Amino acid sequence: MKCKEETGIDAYGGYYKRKQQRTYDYNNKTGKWAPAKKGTGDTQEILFGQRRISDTFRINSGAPDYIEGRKLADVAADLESGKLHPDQFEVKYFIDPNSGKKVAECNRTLAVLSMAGLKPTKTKEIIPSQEVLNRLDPSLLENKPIKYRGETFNMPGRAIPVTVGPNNLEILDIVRLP
Amino acid sequence: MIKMKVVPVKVPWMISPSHDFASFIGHENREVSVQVMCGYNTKHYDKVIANLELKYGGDIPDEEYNKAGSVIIEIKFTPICLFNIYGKMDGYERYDFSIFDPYYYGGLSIGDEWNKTDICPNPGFYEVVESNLKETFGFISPRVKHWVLRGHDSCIDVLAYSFEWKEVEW
Repeated sequence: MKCKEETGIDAYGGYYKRKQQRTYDYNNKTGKWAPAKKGTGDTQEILFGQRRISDTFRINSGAPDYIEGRKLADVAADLESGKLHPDQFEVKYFIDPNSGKKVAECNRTLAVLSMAGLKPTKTKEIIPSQEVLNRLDPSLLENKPIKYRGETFNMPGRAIPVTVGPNNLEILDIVRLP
Repeated sequence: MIKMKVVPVKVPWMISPSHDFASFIGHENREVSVQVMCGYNTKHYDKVIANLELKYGGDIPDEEYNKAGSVIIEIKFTPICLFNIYGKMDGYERYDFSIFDPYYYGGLSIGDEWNKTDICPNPGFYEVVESNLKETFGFISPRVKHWVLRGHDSCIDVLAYSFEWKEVEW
């Protein structure tokens, strides 16, 4: 099979070439592109980009104490009460090469803000890793959308199921973008 | 830090990118079993769905539909020389996965190759051929191999002689 790299187009619709061009335009102040404003200056919403999430933040991740190992519901309650602020939850995202939409890299962070009825106030574009891209590859069975009570949760999307755990797909909750 | 190169272990499944490890259990005879949710290729999935459609007449219950094609795989390593599970940390990576770049940035398709060969090109289960972890712990015998498993939140390093795997009930 002829590698698409030989034609100058990467497998993700030119994502990396466009990013290279944007970086060049920004660094050389060509006026053709400027970075999107962080937080509320950027109107395109960030979508969920994973089949499901657990109800707990990762432990032993180096994340702040107010996140690490905590239940999403508890953190959302702290956001709602004002004990925590959305600025403390930076949402990293990437541009999905298939849809062109912004997709969250850490879906639990986006979920906890959504559970508190909040939109991200701090965002940062990243280049997606192989593992992150795996979550959205439509040819992988793992990414077959979950169905629940007549609704299908496509990816990327505005809602994401929260399931019990690593060997159980029972749905605990559906988190939706506000 | 020099990253260690990995090669994929030839298995027909892929560790789920959105699930972490379900369990790991040590046994007295120096074996460790790891259980994790995995998926097979779409060829396998189509057969599972076809069977479910026969069974339910097209109206497959959500629970059956969502589980279709997914399995819990148990991998048993024996005898264990080292078993290390650790959380993934942003910005820290000790392995080199560039062998898989053509599937993400070069036009090759994991799904297509997987359906063709029934071996997953990037299963989340790897062997480290030139391991400095072995050296760190004083294992110089070529019988000792270094394997890596990648879950959604955690990674596992294993030094052992061999492994076997099977599907388990879930």
